[in-house]
Amino acid sequence: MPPAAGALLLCLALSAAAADFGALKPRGYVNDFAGVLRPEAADELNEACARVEKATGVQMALVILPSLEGEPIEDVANLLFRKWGVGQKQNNEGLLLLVSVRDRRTRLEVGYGLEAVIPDGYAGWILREMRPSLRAGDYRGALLAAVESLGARIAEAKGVRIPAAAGSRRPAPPPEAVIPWWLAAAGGLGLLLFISALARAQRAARGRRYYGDMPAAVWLPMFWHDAGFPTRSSGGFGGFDSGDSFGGFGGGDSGGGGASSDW
Amino acid sequence: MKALAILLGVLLLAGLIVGSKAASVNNQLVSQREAVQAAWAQVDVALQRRADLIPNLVETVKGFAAQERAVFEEVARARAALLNARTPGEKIAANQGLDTAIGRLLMVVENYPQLRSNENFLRLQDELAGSENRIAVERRKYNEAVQRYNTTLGLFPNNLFAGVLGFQRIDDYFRTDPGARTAPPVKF
Repeated sequence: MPPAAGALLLCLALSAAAADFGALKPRGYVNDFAGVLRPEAADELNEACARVEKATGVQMALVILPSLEGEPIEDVANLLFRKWGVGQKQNNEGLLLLVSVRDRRTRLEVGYGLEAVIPDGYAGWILREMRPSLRAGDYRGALLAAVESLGARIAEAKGVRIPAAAGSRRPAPPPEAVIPWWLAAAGGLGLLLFISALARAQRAARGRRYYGDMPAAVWLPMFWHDAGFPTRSSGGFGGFDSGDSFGGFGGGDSGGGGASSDW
Repeated sequence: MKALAILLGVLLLAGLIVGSKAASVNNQLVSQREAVQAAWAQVDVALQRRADLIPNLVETVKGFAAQERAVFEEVARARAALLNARTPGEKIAANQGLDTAIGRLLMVVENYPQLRSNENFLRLQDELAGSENRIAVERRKYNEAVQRYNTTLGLFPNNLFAGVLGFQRIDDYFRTDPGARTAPPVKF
């Protein structure tokens, strides 16, 4: 096997290993897949992120995973960042803060557009500052402090002010409210993805004859790659923006900037 | 006479079909080759970024471990080799040399606990880890772009036109070392 083909197969193997995390869908600014945040804490963090976005245009995704399942945290963070498209497409001003509970690892992934405002050394400092709270099991406190420090630094760089949290907590929406907007959005997105996957599969099936004279070991992975999941298209489901709540991520990209730490 | 006219018509039609197909193949390959070049430019930025960081890092380490001269010299040589490399292939090779040298430098650091708790050094180490991760991400994007281009190039009937139009396979892949990816050298 020529080395180039070996490299190609290796790439495919790596992308397959990370596929599980690629299936995760964003739930809002706060994505607690480990279930360690109380609902009030999640609301509070959501509101803090919404205030940052409203004032500065910067989107933050907070992700808590139960485990990395042996994957490097850098790969998982970059995968989620690019799949979800954190930040607006035109300026890539997004941040993704990933906490893995069982591995006791943290990562702050910085979008292309914020690399000058949040250098890696500062990202590492933010993560080191989170250590005491995380060691005490205070995920809310750790994340809130990180969001506030990051928001303040971005606001300063952009010359804007982030309004303080509303003193009187707004009453939570009644629990018997209709289908939550994000569920409707996720449903719509799922339908869209299903249709586009169908179209892709059809296109790939038409394309298959082009692989005709190659051995199966060569065209099979190529075909599989061609028919694979959309790599960037799942970012950005807009249109549900209601005031200061989560309006969907905007298709931003990241080149792996940021820092990783542990606690 | 009539037969000749039909023959001419058929030839003209065939020429038109082949010509328009060649034009569309050409456009597709040009845009994918542009994408490869753009992806390479991003890799280059990431490589340069790490090379720029190294003098600062070495100075900080020197402040605590001045006697480790052999390692500093090795890092300086590897960095110079990267800065002198021109083609993607040369840069990929030189970058591997720099990986090894930095790995040795960080092993030396392990012996100096005061250094590892120095905030300035911690930040530099974050910057270094960030640079390495950027290289990893950008080279993955570059590999994907190369793979897309080579696949388009090799597909029938594109492969019939590609040679005539002057497109060649790109073989400057990054060989990812799985060990290096799963355990980035810089951890805290």
